[in-house]
Amino acid sequence: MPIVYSEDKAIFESVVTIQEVDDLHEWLLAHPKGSIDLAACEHLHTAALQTLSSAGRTILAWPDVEELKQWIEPLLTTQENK
Amino acid sequence: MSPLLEQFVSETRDLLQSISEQLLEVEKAEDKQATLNELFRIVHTLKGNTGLFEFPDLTRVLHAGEDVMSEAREQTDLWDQTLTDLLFDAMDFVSNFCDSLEENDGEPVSDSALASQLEKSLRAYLEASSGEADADRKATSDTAEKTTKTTKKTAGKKKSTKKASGSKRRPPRAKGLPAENQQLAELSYDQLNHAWQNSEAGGSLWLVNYRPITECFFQGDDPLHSARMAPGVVWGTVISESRDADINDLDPYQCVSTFHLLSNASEEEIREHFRYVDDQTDIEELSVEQLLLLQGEEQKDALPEETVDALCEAIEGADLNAARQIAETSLELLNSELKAASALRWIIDIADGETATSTEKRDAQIIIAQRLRHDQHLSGYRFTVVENMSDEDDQSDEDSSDVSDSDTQNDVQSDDGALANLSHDFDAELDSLNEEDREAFEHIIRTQGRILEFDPADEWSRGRIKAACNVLHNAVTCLELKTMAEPLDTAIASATEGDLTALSDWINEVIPGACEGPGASVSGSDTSENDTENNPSDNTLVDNTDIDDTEADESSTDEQSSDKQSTVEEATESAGATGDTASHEPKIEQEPEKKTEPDAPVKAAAKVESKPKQEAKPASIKPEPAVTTSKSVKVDQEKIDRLMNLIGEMTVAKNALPFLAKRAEEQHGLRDLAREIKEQYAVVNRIAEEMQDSIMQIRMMPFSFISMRFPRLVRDISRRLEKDVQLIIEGEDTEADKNIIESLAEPLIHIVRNSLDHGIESPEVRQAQGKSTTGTLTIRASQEADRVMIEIHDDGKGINPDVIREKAFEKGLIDDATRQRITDKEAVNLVLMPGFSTAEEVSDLSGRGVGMDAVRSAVDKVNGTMALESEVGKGTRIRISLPMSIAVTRVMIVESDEQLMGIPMDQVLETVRVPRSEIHTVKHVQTTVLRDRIVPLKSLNDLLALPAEQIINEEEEHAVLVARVGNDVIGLVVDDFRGSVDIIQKPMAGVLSGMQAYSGAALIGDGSVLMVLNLKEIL
Amino acid sequence: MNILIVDDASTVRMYHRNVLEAAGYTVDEAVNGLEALEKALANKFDLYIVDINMPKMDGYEFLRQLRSEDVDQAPAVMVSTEAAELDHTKAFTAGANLYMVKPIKPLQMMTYVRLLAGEESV
Repeated sequence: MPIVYSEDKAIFESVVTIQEVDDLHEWLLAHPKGSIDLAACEHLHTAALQTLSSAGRTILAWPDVEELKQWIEPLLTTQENK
Repeated sequence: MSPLLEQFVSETRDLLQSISEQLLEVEKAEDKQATLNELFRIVHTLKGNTGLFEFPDLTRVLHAGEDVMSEAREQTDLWDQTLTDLLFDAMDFVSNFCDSLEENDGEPVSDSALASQLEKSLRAYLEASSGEADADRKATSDTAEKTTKTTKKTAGKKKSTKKASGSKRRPPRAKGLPAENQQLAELSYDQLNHAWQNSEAGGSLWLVNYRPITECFFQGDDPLHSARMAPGVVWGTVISESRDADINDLDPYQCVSTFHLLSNASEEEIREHFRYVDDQTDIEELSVEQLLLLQGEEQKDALPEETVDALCEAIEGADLNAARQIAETSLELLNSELKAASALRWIIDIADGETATSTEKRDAQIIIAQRLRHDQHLSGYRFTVVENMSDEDDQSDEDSSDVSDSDTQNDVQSDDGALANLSHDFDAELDSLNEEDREAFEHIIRTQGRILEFDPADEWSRGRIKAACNVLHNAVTCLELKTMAEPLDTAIASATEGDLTALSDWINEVIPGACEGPGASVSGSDTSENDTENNPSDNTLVDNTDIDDTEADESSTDEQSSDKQSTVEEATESAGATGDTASHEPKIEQEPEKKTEPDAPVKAAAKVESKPKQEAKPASIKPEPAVTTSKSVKVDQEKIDRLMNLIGEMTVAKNALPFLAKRAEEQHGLRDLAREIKEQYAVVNRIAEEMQDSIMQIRMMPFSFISMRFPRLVRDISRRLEKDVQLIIEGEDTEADKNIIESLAEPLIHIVRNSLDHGIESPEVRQAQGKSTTGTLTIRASQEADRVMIEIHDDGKGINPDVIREKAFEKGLIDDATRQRITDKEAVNLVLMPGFSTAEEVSDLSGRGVGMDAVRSAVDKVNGTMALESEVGKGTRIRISLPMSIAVTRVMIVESDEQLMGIPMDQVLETVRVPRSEIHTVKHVQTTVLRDRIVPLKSLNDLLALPAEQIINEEEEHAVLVARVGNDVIGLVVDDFRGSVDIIQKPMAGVLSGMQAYSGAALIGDGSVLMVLNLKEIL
Repeated sequence: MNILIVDDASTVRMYHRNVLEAAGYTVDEAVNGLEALEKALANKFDLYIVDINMPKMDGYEFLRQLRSEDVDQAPAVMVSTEAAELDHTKAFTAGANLYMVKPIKPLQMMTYVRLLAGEESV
């Protein structure tokens, strides 16, 4: 499972494809306080990234892959403050 | 919005209107050339304006539009309807952009995808057209003129192909510091440094902007993945509109993100990677040195000047360690958030870099040091540029090329020992200047040197030289270059006498080789005007253009340089010229049409400067006094509204004077004073009325304000419906109040659309019915007394009254008796009834009815009336009658429960006193009989839920105001009447705006507020 | 110090005016070459900032006519969006003293204007 959901957080692992986006979207809507752990994420589909950025959740952990983190950090960080 | 932006929007609107007119004109015009030239000029102006702001989408679209226009005016037969449509679309984009600018207070929301789409379509047109041109060339390459034309076309094509794929070539770099790229400036220091350390000094970097299309997910794309996988990425980021979207509204399958990355791979590799999304990708070339930016907060005096100087000296001496040490020590004492701190970090990181050569490191440090000096408000440091200080060969250093340039120039000048000495003094003076001044100064001197080279035979060459002398004098004086000033003055003196040698010597002393000598460009390298085709407004010169010249212009560059002396090359190059051209004919003499008639109004104006004329003036201009200044002023609507409000208030304030006079007389017994006040009142009253009139005049707008949209509208709709329609507009200069005119716009568009959609038949049908295939739609505005009449007439199929009758009956709008009774004319007007057009398929009803009641209510709102006439098979005529002004309303003031209220006079039929005995109750409704008619009575207190009985007078009579509301007549029982008054009604604002019972409020003479009742609502 | 801005685009005129007035220059405007010529002959200007593409009379023709007159011949900067070199030559031949490409950055404009117009004290 690329995303492991629990009541308070979603943990992203390896590669998150567009197939996960519906579930992610639903989970985010159902858990307005849920936060995100990206540490083990190696890639996420643009659609998933957009969904995350729209939700504006706390990112508990950034990807271990430094290069991925650099790509997405500005987009997801600005959101946290909102 | 800033005033500049407001100006921009306002001017853009005007320009768009002109473009729209010209576009329609082009379709009709026999001779398209003139119109196309004008079109190009307007689009060009528009694009120029956008350059002042950061609106990339807008600039993109307009730039493409400009290129297309430029192409089209070269080859007018390329023009067709598709292109007109395309340009209309582009202009709509611009128009929407302006709306968005205004709505969002200068922060436009722009549809980048649409912009790209438009740009692409426009450019595609360009390519297609130059393709045709190529074919054209093959067919007719035997005639020289054609060759000229098509060679240009090919050049145009090359350019456009490149642009279509979205690549911007690095502009020739100005000497000195590398340009600051806005996108790079957003990177953090670490990101910049990371990119720098991973790139080759002196090389290129590519800034890639990838904007995937919205639907890309459905094509299996994952743009983030593509972007991450791009070759040579040294930095990248995602920008997404999703950030501002509410997750509840988000459609996760629409891509709303763009990707920006910096790559050090080659252009080919990048293009290869993005080959499937070529049209969605922009690639811009940057030099690696552009990464050398300082980030952080500016703070003057963050570093002591001595430290910066010491740092510069260490760099000057190529002492990497010393520079590094100074930077390290200073950095410890410095707030790391400052720009200056980032400079020091650069110095250290550059010194520690692993790949760069020591020359490259020094060059990079020089850039950083100069930026640091700039940040610290210190003057530039004169670094000497060393071509080769270490083992490696260094070809990429641009600064060194500057020096090698001046080295050769020094060789030239050292032929003359005395000169060399002098210029050394000049050099010292130049060195004292700061970087910017020096650069500007040298640029100016070079340019003047070049100007002196032009043909002295030009009629205006005296003036040209005089201006150049003034420039040199001003620049030298301004910078207080005392050593240069004296010889310059001497040189200018002899130049005034006609001898330019001293002056060109002086220029060469300042900048060796900058001036080849007087008239050099005529005999040496003829740089006359062979670019005239590029200039639309200069048609006169086109004929003079030598064909050979133009060919040479296009010919290869190696040919051009071979036949010139090297000094000439140096001169022109140092002046920033390409200096390519061949023929030696002094074509400049064939100057444009000079009217030799000696007198023109300009001359008269010139009398102020009454100096003795030294020679006959050949040039003069056509008298055209009309263009001097525009008589009209553009004023913001708000200012006019404010003025109108003020005038309204004054009208109200002056109404207090009669009250005052009354008090003076009755309470204080001052009859004389009362009379004087009344006299004064009469004067003020007259002025106020005139002011009222004037402001109404100002607010008047011509009907053309809305009618000008119709040609485009009719064209678009009729083209879509494939109908043939001729539009006639009459009375465009008929005027009415701005509010009225504006409120008309929507309804009229609706009516016109209806006419085209359902009224006018297709050409086949018309032909079958024996009508002319072209339908005619006439819109006529005229003034009748104080009303404006608008008539819209089409010769289409008309409305069938029987169908309307049935439909109205079905909908329950009329009863059976009415259905039988009403005339055809009345039946047709039923379509205006509220509720009529809510039927599902009204357009079957011979076409009218769609939203006609909406039109009716819009007209009602401004107290207008409308009527409809139609004859089956012949057409339909709609008449709208409107008041010219809505600003002043006359109201009847009534009193009820000790409050004053106004009722619009046009609803009041009469005021009567009805004895209590004549009021009867019929079915719980109070009524009375007036003039043999039963009138239902309503108590105003009841209607407004005021807990009071209506007051009755001593004769046991009720005050009843008889009013017409819609088609009903009712009697409103009030306490008393107070007469009528002119008021300026203001809509209710804030929470009150929700109160439907009142249509507005106004101030009256004694300063109290009068609420105006909205009878329709309260009944 | 008087500067005449010659441009048919009101937005550009306003932009230049803002920059120049902020630096303490007085500014007059003309919307085409013809109006510019009339103003240039009736008043004394210290600098002209001239657009190329204008209706009635373009920037080239304006400069040629101006330079043909026996007046003070203040410096002229030609301003356009065309960066092509051939335009430079044409501008200088007509009588411009400098060529700048729109949009001009305020700082850059100020440096050049100061040098071309000379200081107030002169």
